[in-house]
Amino acid sequence: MITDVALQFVKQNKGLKKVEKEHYSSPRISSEFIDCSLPLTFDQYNYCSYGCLYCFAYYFKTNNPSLKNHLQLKSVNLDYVCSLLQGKLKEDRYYQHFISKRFVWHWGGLADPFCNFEKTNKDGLKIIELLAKLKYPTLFSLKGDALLQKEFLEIFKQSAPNKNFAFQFSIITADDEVAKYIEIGVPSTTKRLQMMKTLSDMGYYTILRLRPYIIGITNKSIKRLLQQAKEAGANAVSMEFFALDIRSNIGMKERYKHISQLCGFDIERYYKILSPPERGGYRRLNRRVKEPYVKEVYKFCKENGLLFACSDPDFKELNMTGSCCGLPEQYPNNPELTNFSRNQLTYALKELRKRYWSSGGKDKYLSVSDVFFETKYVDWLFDNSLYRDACVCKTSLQTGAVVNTNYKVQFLRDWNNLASPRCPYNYFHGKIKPTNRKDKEGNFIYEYVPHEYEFEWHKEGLL
Amino acid sequence: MKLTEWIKKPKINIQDKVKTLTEKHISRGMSEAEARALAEMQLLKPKKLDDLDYLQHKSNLYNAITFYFKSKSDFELVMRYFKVSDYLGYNTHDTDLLIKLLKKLDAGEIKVDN
Repeated sequence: MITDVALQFVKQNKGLKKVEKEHYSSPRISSEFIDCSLPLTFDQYNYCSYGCLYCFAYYFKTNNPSLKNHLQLKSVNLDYVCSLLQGKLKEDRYYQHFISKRFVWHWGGLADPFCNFEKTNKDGLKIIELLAKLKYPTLFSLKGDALLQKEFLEIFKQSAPNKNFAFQFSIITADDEVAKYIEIGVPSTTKRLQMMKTLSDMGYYTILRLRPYIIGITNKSIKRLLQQAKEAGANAVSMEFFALDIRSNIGMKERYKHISQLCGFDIERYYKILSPPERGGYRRLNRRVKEPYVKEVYKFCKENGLLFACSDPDFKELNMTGSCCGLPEQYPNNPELTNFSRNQLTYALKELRKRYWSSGGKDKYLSVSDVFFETKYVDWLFDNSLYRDACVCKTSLQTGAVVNTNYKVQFLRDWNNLASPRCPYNYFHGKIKPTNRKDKEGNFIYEYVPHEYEFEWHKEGLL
Repeated sequence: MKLTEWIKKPKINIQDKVKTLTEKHISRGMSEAEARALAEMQLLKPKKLDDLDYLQHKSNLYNAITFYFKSKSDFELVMRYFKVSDYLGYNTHDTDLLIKLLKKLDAGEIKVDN
């Protein structure tokens, strides 16, 4: 049974100590930077102690030949990370582009900051102490309950007046019994909601990270979950649907079978038939399948004063904030928590939808200059060295080409390449569409495509 | 069939169609989850971007004008575009239905009244 394998993995990880001589390299830049408000992402360990069967990081790690059969727990170089945050490394690119500008430190991209590894090794604790001392704006993405240990709670209590920390709790079902069959070894939903309440009560900004939304599982208890999150003080909900990678190895196939049993139908077939092929092998269901589920969450948020955020490429335009993780655009309690990038397509699509509807459909065009309008967090996009060292998705480029490439160049390459799954036309599946016009630099100008649901939702007063 | 007759026929929302088909599958002995998934696979297949282009070309004007219907000139523009005299009963933004209508109009299977 795949659950037994996952449970064995979790048990092996309990009390596991990191290796001393080797380090894990973090922070890094997210490969999803084209529509990500928090491209600077950090993990203190190279993997997570939990056994969630939907984990996207599992795919990357099990297909990485260098990790096969010799997976060792590595931690970041603490001296480096602390020096970086303290501003002792003035020449460091992460310092220059992000830390010096107090860019939000997004912690928990590929692992969990408060999983069992942290209980044993406590490397994260040292960094959290420093972040608290520096009052540095930080967003944690977590499920782990190391956070409830005395030393962590003490820091968060003391820092509460500063409000420099925010927390997003990943939860996919209100049902503890269901959760334990898919999130192996993870604290129950009830416990995660209790943690959310504890931090909300301290005055922190908290987010329900409704990801991955699995049709067949999440929808069964979504009403209860949203209500419980509201009662636990959530300020926002950030949702994204489960995506199924067709390049699966045997382990992934086993996981899909198990999830299928929980859903009550074959998810591989479901995703094969209902996902647009233009997006490539990382299958995402089409809009029409997702619409009723999105509507339910959006409506709840609107009626209850929570921010709705959507990381899914479909319905990105509905975001109530330019950060699809759910950080607000304005936060008087600590304005530094709004220090995220607006130079990305989540922000651009959200603004474009508003422009389109408020102008009666006349203001409908999107140029590159509309995406890259902000000057505060833009330098990193033009830094060739940063791209060379930090970008992990450049295997299609020859060495010579990498030297002359940066994130902006990569963005433009995809923007103008209609054959690429990362082209906005394909990625957003027709939500914006290239026109026959180009800007001065020869880049496509896109136009907004209103969908049927927008007309209906307008009539219902939802938009 | 004349367009006015076609318009008067009751139209069913796609999500309602999914619900109806799900119930049908359940009555044949399927579990609710399986039935719903099968109905979705039958009715909610992704649109090809080519189809979306077609729809956009034909229906954006239709959608935009019916939604923002404000002036007589807008109304006349719609009249000229669809070459119809009575379409106001048609009040859905169901993509499938709209593509069907537009393709039937293009093929001459549905005739305009005037």
